Amino acid sequence: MNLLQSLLNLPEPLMGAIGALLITLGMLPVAAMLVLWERIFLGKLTQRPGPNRVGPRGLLQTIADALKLLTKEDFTPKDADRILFFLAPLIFIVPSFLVFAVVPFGHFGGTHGPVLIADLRTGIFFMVAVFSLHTVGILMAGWASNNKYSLLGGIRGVAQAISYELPLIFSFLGILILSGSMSTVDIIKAQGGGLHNWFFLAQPVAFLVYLACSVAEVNRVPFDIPEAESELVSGFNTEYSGMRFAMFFLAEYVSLFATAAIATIVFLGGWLAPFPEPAVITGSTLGYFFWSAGWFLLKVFTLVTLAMWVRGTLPRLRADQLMDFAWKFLVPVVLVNLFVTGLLALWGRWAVAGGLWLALLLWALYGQSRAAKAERRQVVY
Amino acid sequence: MDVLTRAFQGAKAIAEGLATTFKHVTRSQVTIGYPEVRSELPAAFRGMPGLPPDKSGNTTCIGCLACARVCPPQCIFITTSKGEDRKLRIDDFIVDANLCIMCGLCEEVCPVTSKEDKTDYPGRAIQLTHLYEMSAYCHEDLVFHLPQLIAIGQEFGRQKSKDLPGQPRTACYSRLAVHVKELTRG
Repeated sequence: MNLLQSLLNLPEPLMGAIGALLITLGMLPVAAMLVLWERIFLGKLTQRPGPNRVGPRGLLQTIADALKLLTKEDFTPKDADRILFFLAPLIFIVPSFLVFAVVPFGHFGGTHGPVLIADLRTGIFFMVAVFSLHTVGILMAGWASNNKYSLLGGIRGVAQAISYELPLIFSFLGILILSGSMSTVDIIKAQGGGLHNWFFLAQPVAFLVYLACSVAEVNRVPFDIPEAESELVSGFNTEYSGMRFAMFFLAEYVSLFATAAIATIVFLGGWLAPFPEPAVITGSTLGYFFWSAGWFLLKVFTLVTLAMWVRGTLPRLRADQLMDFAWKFLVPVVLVNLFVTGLLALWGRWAVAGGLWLALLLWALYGQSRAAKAERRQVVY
Repeated sequence: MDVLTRAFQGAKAIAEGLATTFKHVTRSQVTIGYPEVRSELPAAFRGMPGLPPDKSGNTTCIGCLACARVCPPQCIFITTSKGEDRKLRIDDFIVDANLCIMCGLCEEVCPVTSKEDKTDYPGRAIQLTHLYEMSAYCHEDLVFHLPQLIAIGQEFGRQKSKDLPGQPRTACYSRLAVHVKELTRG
């Protein structure tokens, strides 16, 4: 907020408070839009019309849903732990908003600085640390509900979060080696110059691992065992209704947006365009703000849509398969990725990218031949 | 089967799945938005039974009670009386739609036929019509008497000889359902 700070000339805590207010108010319509888009997109995937009743082409559907949830009775079960039951949605929702403190939504161009609340030197570390807090909310909600299905959901949520946070954090470590900084702004600046410098090309393995882990982090299909409808009714939020359920629902979509934003910053070059930016745009402050914010939101939106696409495609994993996948596959893969990145970083970024892509290619060829062989063997028997 | 091969197969399966679901985005939707859009009914659609009238507007029923006897839920009640010309007159013909299961046995067993009608059961006195919107506020509203059954047969019945089996025919008709309901109340 360098430019705004110099323009308004307010003390830093006040600027931070204004930014927090803007983020909180701005995320509500974004979450409503994501809910609507998810329903429309899932409808398209299954050849249904999706919401089409409220407002023109169903565009007001989420507003109607929100009003319904707000006016519903806010019910607390008889033997619930009232304090924890009240606190759980808050603890669940706050971390998803906190993440945006270090998310640069765009840039004012030149020396005016990026559009963000705080450029922490430990930006990525802050994000990951804060983001894992909502697990506490899940366990709290499950425990306080005094319902065995909710408790099971909460316990599953914690087990899943512990398993998937490890590969998620490790997938960032290769990036930190390449960029040499933990600040979100520095990481984006390290990817400047065009598409070929974005880190998802230099770290393809880490990018794929992050995509899988981020879906697990926000408890979405296929990693939604904490709220598996067919097994646990609705998991940790079974007993919640009305406003408090709306908070869980809102937090889920804000988290989805947050994970996509993190992926955009770390792997897809944040606010940068995929080609060298023309001087006409970089010269004008306001023009570059809209240009950069547009690219940022476009990338985030693409990643969110990818998550919805996956939701429309894959079935839910079993709890033990989930643990297997995290501990026996993702963790070794990111460790090898980190090791290879560390070795190759000595010879420069291109060597890293080339080495990792070569490894992916070799793996695909190997897997293809083995799979074909296994198929042939099955035919013989 | 080692880890790398399994991982490859998993990745391949996910990619194939994503491709499959994406294919469906490009296809046209299968949902028909019912109250606004109505699907085409097959000619042999079995809806509410009705009594299609002849040219003078009377029922062609001869009062043999075959349909009342064969009806599995026993929802047809016919009262007849002998007129002065010693012919049976249909005093009332009741189909209780609360009970009717729309099996079509009444239509099958009906001895009345017509030569110019080329449908499966040509010119039956009682026919299953294309009326399927029969919501009502009480059970009494769903007990249909002779004039209402004639109206149903008139408005919703298969049109003789024009409507060959297998040809789809658009059902209309909430406007007409309202009409039938008004008759029922009266």
